[in-house]
Amino acid sequence: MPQIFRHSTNYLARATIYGAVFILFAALWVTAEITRSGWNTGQWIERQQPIQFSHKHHVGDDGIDCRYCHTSVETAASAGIPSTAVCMNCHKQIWADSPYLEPVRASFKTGKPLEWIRVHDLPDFAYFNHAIHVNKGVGCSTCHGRIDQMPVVSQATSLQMEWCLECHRSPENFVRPKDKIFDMEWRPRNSTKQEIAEGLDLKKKYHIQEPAVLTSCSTCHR
Amino acid sequence: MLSCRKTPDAETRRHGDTEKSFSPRPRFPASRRLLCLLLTAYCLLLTSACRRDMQDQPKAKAFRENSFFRDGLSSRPLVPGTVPRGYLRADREFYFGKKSNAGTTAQPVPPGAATPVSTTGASAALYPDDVETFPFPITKEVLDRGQQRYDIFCSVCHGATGDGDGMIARRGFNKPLPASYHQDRLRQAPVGHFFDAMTNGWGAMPSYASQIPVEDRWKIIAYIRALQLSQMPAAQAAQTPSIKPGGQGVRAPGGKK
Repeated sequence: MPQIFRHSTNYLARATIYGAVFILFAALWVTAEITRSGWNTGQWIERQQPIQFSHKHHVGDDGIDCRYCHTSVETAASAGIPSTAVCMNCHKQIWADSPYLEPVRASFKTGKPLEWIRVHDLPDFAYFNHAIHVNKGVGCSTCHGRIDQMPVVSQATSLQMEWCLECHRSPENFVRPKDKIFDMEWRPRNSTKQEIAEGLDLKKKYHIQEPAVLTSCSTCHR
Repeated sequence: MLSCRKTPDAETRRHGDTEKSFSPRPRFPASRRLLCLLLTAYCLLLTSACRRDMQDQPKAKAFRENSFFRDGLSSRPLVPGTVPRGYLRADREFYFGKKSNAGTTAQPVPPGAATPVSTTGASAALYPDDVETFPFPITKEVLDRGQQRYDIFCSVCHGATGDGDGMIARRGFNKPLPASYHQDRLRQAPVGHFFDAMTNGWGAMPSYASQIPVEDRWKIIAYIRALQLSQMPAAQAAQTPSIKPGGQGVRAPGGKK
């Protein structure tokens, strides 16, 4: 009976052994990519809301400050979703007859709140407080991206723990001066040496804790 | 466990899904069985994050819906009649901008009632109940805070300089147009009138009580006074009692801006 396999098949067998290592790493890499992808994190997925509310129009075109609606962002854990009454501040005259705004008027009349769809949904085991971030030099657009350019808001970042830690390990790369916190156009991160030096100054000024404290488990998982 | 055996048992133990496909068929070599097990374990790892019990805990958080209460809200309203600690609004002048000796509703001061502060302009008679002095000293910090809050909440309609030409007014909120601060009525009005307008609304203007805390309202008024002064002829500025620097009770130095 002749040989089924030729001699050269040995090379194939050997290559397969090395290949196994490659396949293992590839599998790990694919897993990591899937975990980080928007499919898993929800990043860049536009959420349709009960009303076609455009941040691009209200912030970008009209120049309304973030804090006009998100009033508690500097004082509380939650930035605050405006009540229907705040919408009606302007919309009792502007677009007062528009069918787009019918749900707003209905909510105003009945007192039943609008049910907005949450876009940035942190897991419940992670503690997050807007006020401390905003008051210590983390700007809106650092986490939320260019909201003033989003007709429909999507999550601009992965909101994964590695993303949180990126800043908690080296806040000097991200902090900004007090008067730039609500500036949508401020650079996303301090990249040059000079900018990081400024960041280190700010870190001292804001009394930001050392990375050992900022990355301690109980800082966020409390 | 299985991989340790050189020859597979005739009676195969059940090992979940992976085993099912093998049992009726001829035995596979142990090594291949190990491979299948590893693959299954790997796939199971991928699905391990599918349970979200810890991510979505059934606890009340701000703005979250809650099926426990009939109205579906997690945030509960106060029980009627309760006063949260620190929210007792006993200081009438500070919290309501009304003179402490005036009636609870806006009505003209009865003749002969004591007027505790300095004489006011003609328009002050329109707002007899409203206080004419700031409840705290006006400093540079107060004005800066006032300017910041003014730019957030007021400038959208009243404009950055207080002319009543903000972006919202230009977009169609013009029945009537937002008031300009640089008219005689408002130049003469007591500070309490501005507080009243912010707190309870005035004409087409809605109440801003839910958006602007009490202290910030006073600071905004200080900034409005600075705006008014910036657009006022010097001669008139000197005559305006409610703005005059060093006037009794008015501690806002006019020339800060």
